[in-house]
Amino acid sequence: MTLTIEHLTKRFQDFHAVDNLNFVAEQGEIFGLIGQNGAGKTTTFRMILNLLAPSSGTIKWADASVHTLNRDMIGYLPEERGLYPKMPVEDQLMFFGRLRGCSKAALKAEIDDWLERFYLSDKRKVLTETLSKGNQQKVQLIASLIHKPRLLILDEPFSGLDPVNAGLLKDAIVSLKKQGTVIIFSSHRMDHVEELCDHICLLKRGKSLFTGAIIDLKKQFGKINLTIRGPFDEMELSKIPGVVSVAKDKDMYRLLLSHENDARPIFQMLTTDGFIERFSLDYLSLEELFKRKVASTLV
Amino acid sequence: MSKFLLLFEQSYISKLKTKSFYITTLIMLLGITAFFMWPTISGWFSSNEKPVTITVADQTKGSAISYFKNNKKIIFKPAKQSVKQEEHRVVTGKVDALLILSLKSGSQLDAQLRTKKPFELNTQQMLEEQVRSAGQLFTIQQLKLTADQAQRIIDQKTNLNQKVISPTADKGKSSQQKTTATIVSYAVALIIYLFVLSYLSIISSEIAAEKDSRIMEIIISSTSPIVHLLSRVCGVLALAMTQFTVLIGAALIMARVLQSGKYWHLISDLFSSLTAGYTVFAILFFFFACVLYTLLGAVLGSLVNKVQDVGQAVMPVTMVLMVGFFIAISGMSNPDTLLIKIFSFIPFTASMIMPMRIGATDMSLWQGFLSLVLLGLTIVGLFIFSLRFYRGSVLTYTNGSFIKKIKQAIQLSK
Repeated sequence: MTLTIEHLTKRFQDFHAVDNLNFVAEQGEIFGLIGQNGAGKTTTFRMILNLLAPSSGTIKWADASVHTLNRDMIGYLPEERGLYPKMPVEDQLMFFGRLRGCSKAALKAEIDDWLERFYLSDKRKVLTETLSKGNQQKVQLIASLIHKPRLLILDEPFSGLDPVNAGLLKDAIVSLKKQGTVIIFSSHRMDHVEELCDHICLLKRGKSLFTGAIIDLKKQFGKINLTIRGPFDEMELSKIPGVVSVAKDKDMYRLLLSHENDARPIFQMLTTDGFIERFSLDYLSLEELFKRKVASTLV
Repeated sequence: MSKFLLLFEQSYISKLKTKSFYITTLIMLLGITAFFMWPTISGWFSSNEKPVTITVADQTKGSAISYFKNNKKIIFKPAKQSVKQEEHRVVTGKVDALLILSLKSGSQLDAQLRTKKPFELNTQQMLEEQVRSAGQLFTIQQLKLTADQAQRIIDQKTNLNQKVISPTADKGKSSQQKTTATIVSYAVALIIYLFVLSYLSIISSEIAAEKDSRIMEIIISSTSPIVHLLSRVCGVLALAMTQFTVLIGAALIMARVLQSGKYWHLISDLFSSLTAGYTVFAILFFFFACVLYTLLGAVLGSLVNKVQDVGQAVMPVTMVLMVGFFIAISGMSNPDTLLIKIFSFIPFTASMIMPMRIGATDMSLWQGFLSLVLLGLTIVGLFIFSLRFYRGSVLTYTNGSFIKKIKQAIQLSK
């Protein structure tokens, strides 16, 4: 099963919230939709969910319009928490599961399993409003996937989670991916996107700046991220040909090169006097790429 | 289970279990109990009250004092001393008042009351009634009539028997029927006013809370907005009908059991003088009013951004309800005014006014039917209109006027 978005556009009068968007999310793949606030991520999600009608373009699931399919195959975690504050955790999960067409009996085992995986078994009878923000987020995530959706949309799933809980959530997402679920998610945490996603779509003001595998985006810029540690002077480093900028990071220097090919002569220059503790050449991180592409700013 | 039933159940059961539902029902039940037990309750409070003692200085040279009868509240005693001395007794608090009876224009009774402090309204009214009655009897006595003749004058009562002689017009209702219908209509208007007011805010708050917390997005991504809207409206209506049934059931049981069934007979007499047509219309208007305002509440709830904005949003509707209710009250004294006629056709006020016109006037039933049809069409129209923008309104979080929000919601719904 594949989610295919072709020439998707959403206009609000003269404003283009989403402009000619194209991407394909394959089965068993995690697809990242990234962009600044107002880039059109939530509008795209809402169109996939049939909450908003596209101005033009198509959204297909296995060659059929996604809007003609049973809604129960979709799971959705909204950016802001959507839970009944006065409802106990177990009832909440039962309600959202039944809303997606599952029977009470089938849900019971699933609820037990997920509550245990997220260390929430002791909270099953607790009112949702009394839970911490992180625990509420975990309940929200369980509610979005309790019915075993084939397409899972996660809008900022890591918001409010500490590293331990974020790790639990990542494990759950990867587990669903292995089961063949198509997962689309947005996040401002580029490290999470980089860690989880196979492919991404980078949005700026509704337009796609890049769509494809993360590695392909990185290759566009090449390995220009150089980290060194040794007895160097920042001023002297900045004067080396091919070095665009130098930043001191604790006991290391981070050098941004104009081109990957500049790395070799720089290595030879820096090792003229012999041993250096570190010389590491890498691609730019997704966060740095994001800033370059979306905000059009240098690192 | 269908998604409608699931959402309906969730809406109905969750509210049925709330403490606020139990508390409001309990308060209303206490109110009903207090109503039926009023003679006993008022007795508890009045049993300890000392009756007022009034000395009567009769200067009529007749027996005017004999027309004043002692009761639980007032005790009359003939004056034994001069007016001045009796006034002194009032000032010193030995008696509560001095009533001086004298002749005016030779044959009319004149009464003057002297008190240290003003009487309570209730005592004042009872005393005025006694003075008025005594005045009548005294005048009759002055005419030298026999006791039997006097009694006949007092008891004299002429009924006006109205007969419509036009062959096309119907017979018309008796004044007894009209009065009964006015009382029942007032009760219907009051029930509509109280129920609609509380349930309007319940449904608006529920939908606003779901929108505010983004639960709405999850629900309408799973099912259609129409199903959501209908489930919430039906859930709240079912809750209103549950409370209504509990209260009416409790009231009927109390009427039967309390005060030796006195109120049961009163209610039976009241309803037996009402026509079946009136009862059907009153029930339909009550139900339609609940549907109209619940739907309106749902729409308003979907347009606000936060739960705390609900009060402000429903304020205009509350005002309309108040206008309807006060016009219905004005109709109790005269249900045939032009104002009543106009507002009985306006769908938002018709349910509180038209039942009164149907019962308390001789208007043709087609007018009631027309008003009901208008109300029904308004509900259908509002439902169709709300469907046009409900999907969009639950995704609209902008500030601004309702018109602006509706326009934006319609655009989002396209």
